[in-house]
Amino acid sequence: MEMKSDMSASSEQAPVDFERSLKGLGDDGKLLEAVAQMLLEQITVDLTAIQSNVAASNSCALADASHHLKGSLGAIAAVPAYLACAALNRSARCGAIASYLPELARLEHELTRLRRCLQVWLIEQEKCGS
Amino acid sequence: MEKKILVVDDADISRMIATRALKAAGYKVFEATNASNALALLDGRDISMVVCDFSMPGMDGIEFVKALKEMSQYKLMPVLMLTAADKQEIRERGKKSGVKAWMTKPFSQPALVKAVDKLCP
Repeated sequence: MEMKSDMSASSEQAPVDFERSLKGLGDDGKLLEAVAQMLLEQITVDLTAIQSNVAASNSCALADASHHLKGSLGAIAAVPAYLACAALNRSARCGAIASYLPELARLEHELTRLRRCLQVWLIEQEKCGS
Repeated sequence: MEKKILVVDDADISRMIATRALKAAGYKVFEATNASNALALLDGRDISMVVCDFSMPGMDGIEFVKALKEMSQYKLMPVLMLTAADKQEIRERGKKSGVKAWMTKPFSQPALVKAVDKLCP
């Protein structure tokens, strides 16, 4: 998997490229399911931390929290959310406080799409397995 | 004899992916979430190789490798460094510290196994 080639990806891009994610995980569907589950949990935890750090303009903690989420998003090909998180992480590292709110809004939007997509996909996998 | 790999990464998902790939390839894997845990885990376990994330809270990957290489018993231990930030400056620092190979995150499982197979004595 390589995110760099998709740096120009638009927000209309699918939240996750499952085919590419699967390939990166050695075509292990069960692993992708486990990763998707973990990612859903991680998003909730990290997004809460990111939101409170933006509210407090705590650049250092925001950089850490966004870095952590970016790492999780990069584990599968969740490109739009990854790029939104990377942008917020860059701003946090520079202390560009004025960018935090618009970038957080973009990240929240992409994470909402991603969560929905992962939840639907997991339900489909469960149906296929039963 | 089963070769033992220590995977050091604070990111749960990346660590799980790496661990699962290496276990499936026949390695025995130990996991640590930070450099301090990793240094403690190394003791007496006869680890063959370390796979380590660069960016971790506290001691970063390169500082960890420096600490590792200062111990005579681990001086020759191969280290594969994982990084999301593919920067030359980081690689130069790593090279000086004794990092043998690099892999950019997100990595694929087959590529990780191939790199570890190559480095693991």
